[in-house]
Amino acid sequence: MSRTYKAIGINLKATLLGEADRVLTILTKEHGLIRAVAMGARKQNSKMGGRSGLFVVNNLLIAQGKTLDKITQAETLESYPGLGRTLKKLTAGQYLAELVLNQALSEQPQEDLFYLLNEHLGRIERSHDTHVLAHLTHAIFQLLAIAGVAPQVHQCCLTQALLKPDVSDPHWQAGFSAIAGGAVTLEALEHMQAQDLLLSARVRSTGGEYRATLAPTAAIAAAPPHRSPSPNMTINAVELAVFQQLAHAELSQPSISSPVWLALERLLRQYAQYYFDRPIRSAALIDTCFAPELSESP
Amino acid sequence: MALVEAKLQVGYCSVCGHLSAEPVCDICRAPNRDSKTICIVADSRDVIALEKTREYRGKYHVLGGLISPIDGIGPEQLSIQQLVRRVSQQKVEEAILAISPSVEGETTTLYVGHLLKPFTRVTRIAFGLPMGGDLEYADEVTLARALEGRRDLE
Ligand SMILES: [Zn+2]
Repeated sequence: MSRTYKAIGINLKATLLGEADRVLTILTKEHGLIRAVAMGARKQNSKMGGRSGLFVVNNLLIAQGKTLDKITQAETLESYPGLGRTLKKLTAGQYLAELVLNQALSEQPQEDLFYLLNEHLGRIERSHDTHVLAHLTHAIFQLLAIAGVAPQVHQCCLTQALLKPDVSDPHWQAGFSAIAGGAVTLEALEHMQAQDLLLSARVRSTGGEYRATLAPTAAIAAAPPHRSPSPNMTINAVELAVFQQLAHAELSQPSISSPVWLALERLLRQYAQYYFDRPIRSAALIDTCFAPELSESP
Repeated sequence: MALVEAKLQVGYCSVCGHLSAEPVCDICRAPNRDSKTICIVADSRDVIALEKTREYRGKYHVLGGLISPIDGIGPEQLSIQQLVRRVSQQKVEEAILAISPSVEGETTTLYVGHLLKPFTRVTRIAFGLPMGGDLEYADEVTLARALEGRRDLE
């Protein structure tokens, strides 16, 4: 006797199973991340073909199985066909899907995350192609925020001093450090760099594990590349000013120049990789597709 | 499984990447095939399927997979550079992208198309409803795609 349950979910990942099936990883409102088989989805005449595609939102009826659940009915509510119009939109969508796969929980409702992801996929779909990077960066910040790990950008993470970027001063700078939790004053950043070992030891001690004997070089060598505490970065006034706006639900300055968005995306990527302790693989394609020479052509 | 074993014994064509017992495959060596047209596919199985139609008389290029950022498969893992070199150095008049309409397929199509456009005319095969299938039985995603790919009646 198999039990069935209903869910509304968006497909985030698909892997092939056997000759004709697909295993989908789906973010559902009701049960968080689930994995379920779409039987026969790769057959030419299967109704599951289109419905099992990435970013397709379905109203699902699912049968619980011993090892894997099975989709018995699916009715499509949304499929974001416009994402497929440009490489930038497709890449941005896949980046968000990967981030959500890193942060979503299983076996509990993920309604807020579900709505947030859909909202931002819709914005990227409708966006002008030159604003895709801005919308992507905004979405990354918002996803981190809903996970409760958004970087602190209004106050220095180390001294709690208020950070007020002076956009009229081209030399104004602050620091940014994933390990510190976000923005820091330039003095704090320099201090931190000088005491790299001390800081990493302190962070480890709050994690319940104190290993002060570890030499700094060993600490960096032992960390996987996406987790390495260095490099700490600097951030200019315009970048920080835009950063401080990203917590708002609406994006206020999508048309600000793309180097700013590129810089912020890099910082958020480094930060997200540090927090989720895994690389964001889709990001490599972001580098290719938003590189200046490619983004100038249509 | 059978295909994996065949690959181990057979090897790939050094020109197009299709399965071949010889260094250059039958299709690439055929003198009567049009080398000004290259059809780009993800996998050797797609070449076999297209050959069954007996409609296509050009040559092929097998990418060896699809770009799938989430799975860590980037453009550099596919034979895209070889393709660009082939198209830019030979007198190719049309590059036809024949790649499945999934997110990974679209990503690959757009990426490769973008790289080839400076050198040649780039087209893609049409996707829509299966022959003999009733419209009312088609799924919503396929129908939406078919609508998006509509064209003028000649
Ligand atoms: Zn060949």
